[in-house]
Amino acid sequence: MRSLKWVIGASAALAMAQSAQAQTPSASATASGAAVVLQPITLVKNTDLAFGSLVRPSLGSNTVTIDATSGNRTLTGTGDASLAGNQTPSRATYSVGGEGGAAFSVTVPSSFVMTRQGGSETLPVALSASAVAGALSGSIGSNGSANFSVGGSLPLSSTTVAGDYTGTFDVTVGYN
Amino acid sequence: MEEKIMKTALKIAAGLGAVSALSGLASTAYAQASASATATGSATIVQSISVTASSNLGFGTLVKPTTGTSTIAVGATGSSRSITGGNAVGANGAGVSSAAFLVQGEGGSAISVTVPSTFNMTSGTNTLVVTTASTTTAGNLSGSIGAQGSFTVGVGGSFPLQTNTASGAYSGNLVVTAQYN
Repeated sequence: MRSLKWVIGASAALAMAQSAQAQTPSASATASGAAVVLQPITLVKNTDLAFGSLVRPSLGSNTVTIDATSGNRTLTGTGDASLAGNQTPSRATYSVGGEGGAAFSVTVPSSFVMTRQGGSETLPVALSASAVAGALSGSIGSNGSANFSVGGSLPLSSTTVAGDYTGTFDVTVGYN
Repeated sequence: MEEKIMKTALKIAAGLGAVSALSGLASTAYAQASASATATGSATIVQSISVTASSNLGFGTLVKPTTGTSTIAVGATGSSRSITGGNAVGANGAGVSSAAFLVQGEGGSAISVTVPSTFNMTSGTNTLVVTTASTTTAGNLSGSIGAQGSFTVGVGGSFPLQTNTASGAYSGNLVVTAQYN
């Protein structure tokens, strides 16, 4: 009779164990996987930065500025420099291409140096951009585009050596 | 209500036990006047097993290659991403993460976790097939029986990125299952 009790106990326990496992023999969970795929970003320079022709001051100093947004050329300072009209000034303009809707940032050096052709004299140019960040038009899955421009300013003094000055600067765009 | 069912179950079990005992007795009754034998009963009762996704698998933002095929891979643990082949680049590290699944159940119990070898991420009609890579998928839940134990499986993955891969935001489901052995 004692052994019978053992058997009863065992049977009941086994039944419980089996039903407990039958309810949840396994369990699952779902994680998401995600990736955003963008087409390469491109940057094309459309127009160079040009200050045009400038007459240096005989006295004092001046600053010539090409506005990044408007492209307007202005002269400031205490000197008597003047702007000549025989060359068309312009801001540098750029077109960005890439994934629609994607945010990007623009990296423009704060300054660069122009050197006189045939000489070694230099003019430092401070640069400014119309925007340092933006978003391409449209939405992801299609081509987007955006534009920005770069202006700058340079100092003129009575000792600035006359001549043609040129230099280059690199502008970079990248997805955020 | 549960008690009543239990009592009924016990009664049925008792009945079955009695039959077993009687038939056991019957086989030996011819040889001796009486005999008894003791069987050992045992049962292991475990709490339900559960799995929770504690982090998702993220590859972040990628710029597809202009030449060649790049393989984008995220390790099974942590949040490191590698790009091999082609000239694809990662736009930034945001959103890069391995998936992690927390299995919970009876402490000390042996369990196994099933991770699919691949799963799909889609963007519209476009599909990226992700080949998974995981940490060890079999082992014992921490602790010992009588307490809740846990076991974590990390899952990473990789997929190819080509020049003609359609750009877009891809997403998909990674379903992982755990069970007691």
